[in-house]
Amino acid sequence: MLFAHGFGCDQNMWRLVAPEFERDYRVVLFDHAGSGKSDLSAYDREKYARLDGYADDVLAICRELSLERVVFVGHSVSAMIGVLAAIREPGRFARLVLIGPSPRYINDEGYVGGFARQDLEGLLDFMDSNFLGWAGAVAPKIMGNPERQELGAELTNSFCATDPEIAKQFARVTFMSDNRADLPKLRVPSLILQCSEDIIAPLEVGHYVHRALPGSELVIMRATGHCPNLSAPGETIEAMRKFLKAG
Amino acid sequence: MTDDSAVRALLEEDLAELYEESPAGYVSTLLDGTVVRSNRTFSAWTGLAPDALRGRRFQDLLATPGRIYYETHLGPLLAMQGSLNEIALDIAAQDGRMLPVLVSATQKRGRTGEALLNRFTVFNATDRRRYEQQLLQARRAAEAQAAEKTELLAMLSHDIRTPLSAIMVVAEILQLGHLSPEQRDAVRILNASSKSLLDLVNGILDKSRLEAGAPALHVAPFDPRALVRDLVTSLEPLAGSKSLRLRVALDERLPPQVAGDALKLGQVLGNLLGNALKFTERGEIALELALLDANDKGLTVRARVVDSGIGMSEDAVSRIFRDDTAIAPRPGGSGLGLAISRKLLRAQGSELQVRSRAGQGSEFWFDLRLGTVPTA
Repeated sequence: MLFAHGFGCDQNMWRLVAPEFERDYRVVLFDHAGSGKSDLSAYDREKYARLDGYADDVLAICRELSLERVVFVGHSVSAMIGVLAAIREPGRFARLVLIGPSPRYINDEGYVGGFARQDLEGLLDFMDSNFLGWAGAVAPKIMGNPERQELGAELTNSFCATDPEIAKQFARVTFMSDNRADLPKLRVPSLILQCSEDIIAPLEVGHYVHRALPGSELVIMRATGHCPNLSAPGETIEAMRKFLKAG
Repeated sequence: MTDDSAVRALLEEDLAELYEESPAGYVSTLLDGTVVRSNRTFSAWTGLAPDALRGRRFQDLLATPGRIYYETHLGPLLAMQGSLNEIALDIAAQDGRMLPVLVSATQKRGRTGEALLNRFTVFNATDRRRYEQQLLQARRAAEAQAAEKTELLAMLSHDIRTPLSAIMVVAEILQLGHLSPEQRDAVRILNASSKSLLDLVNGILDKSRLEAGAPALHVAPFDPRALVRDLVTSLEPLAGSKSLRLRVALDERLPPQVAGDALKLGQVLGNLLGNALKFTERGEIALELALLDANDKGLTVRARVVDSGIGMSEDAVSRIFRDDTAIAPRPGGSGLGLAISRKLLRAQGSELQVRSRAGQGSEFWFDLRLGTVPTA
């Protein structure tokens, strides 16, 4: 079972979900190039100017670790990265679990993505503002929770902490992507976990993905927001188990 | 007694007032962001009464870009860490105005340690955001200007090269004709000056190319001895004209083939040797390649270029590698060659080192990792 984190985070995103599957699966976690603790010198602006560059990496990890019959679990933009990878090497993947997927974030004629183009520009400005106060803002000091101090120290150094220019490119690549035409090409069974009230991937998008992905199953979760893997790990795990058992 | 209870009552009232009228906005929410309590300051900023705020989600009060940031960064961060500090966001007020704020948050936990509430503390950051915007604009302008300059420099250098090549060709042709000694001398100066101008222009072009991005490496097997031989052959005429000895010492353990970027290595060594020749009037110039270590993963070679030239003062040595981009010129040199060499080496994970004393010559060296090539 291969877990891929979304924009803004790193593999720590999975800490409440991934351990649950360790008994039944070989669990593989990784940070995307440019995120978390990845080797920043390996970041290639040209390669990662498209989601396909990230899909390359997913396939490279599968090859390197000789992963077969992979259950790919992708959050947010990584859901689409997993779809791209599974289209290219369908034989490699048994199932896809797509958490809050969106093939296109920006509204288009006859399509609700949820965002206008200028929203994205605004986001990039916020990222700039927050990177200016980097030390105080995005890598905040840990308060409270003394018995889990070690956890805090680890997080400060990695979670959400990355090179500002890389983070901005990842944001641009993510939110400018349009993979609607790729969806019908997927041949691997998939589960779409759609949160209620998710601004990043609204309900309409979940339904759109479900209609466009052949052989997909859609579960509308009670959890709100964009990160059920953090806010509702129990519900997430349960939905995944049910889907995987049904196979 | 009555006084005591009056004071206590006043203190309680004071506490409530502190909460309500604090210069910071306070918002307590459930874990999903649903507002359960907020103060009057926050109501004044949003234009929504506390009652109207209750039941809404904190993130829904933000402008869209901020909401994306909330969902992708801030929310996960708060859930993972239990707190966050001074995140820049915009509150979208009822009247359509945007209020720049800084948000800190803490998760409040119940007796058993499970998170129950988020407490947001919201600071008005209008002034700070204005300064930040100015700072950002200034930085963007400076970056754009620097990029423009680099490009202009590259273009100019390129444009200068074309007529310069023409001058050099004409000078070559002139040399073939019957010339008086004075004319021959003039043509020689013409040739030499054009050559040094071309070197300078090529240097500027290389440097601006390097500034535009790290050079790509082209790793392939090559013969290190042949590389050195070709270099020395090309420099021998110049050394000969100054009666300098060009000494080459190659480690005999060097394999016949190694894997690396031969072109870049040749460029760096050529640069260092060219400098040595330029700044040395008598004595010798030595090029040494020594094998530091080797295993099946690769080998490390130390390359040294030593001259007995004018050397540099301690001050000049420290200035020469002052920062990443600028290398202070030495008399008679632009310093470009060293800057380029340094960048080329860094692209290969190596660092150029220098040791020098005024009047006693200079020594430049670097340790380079090279790949092994299996012998057939």
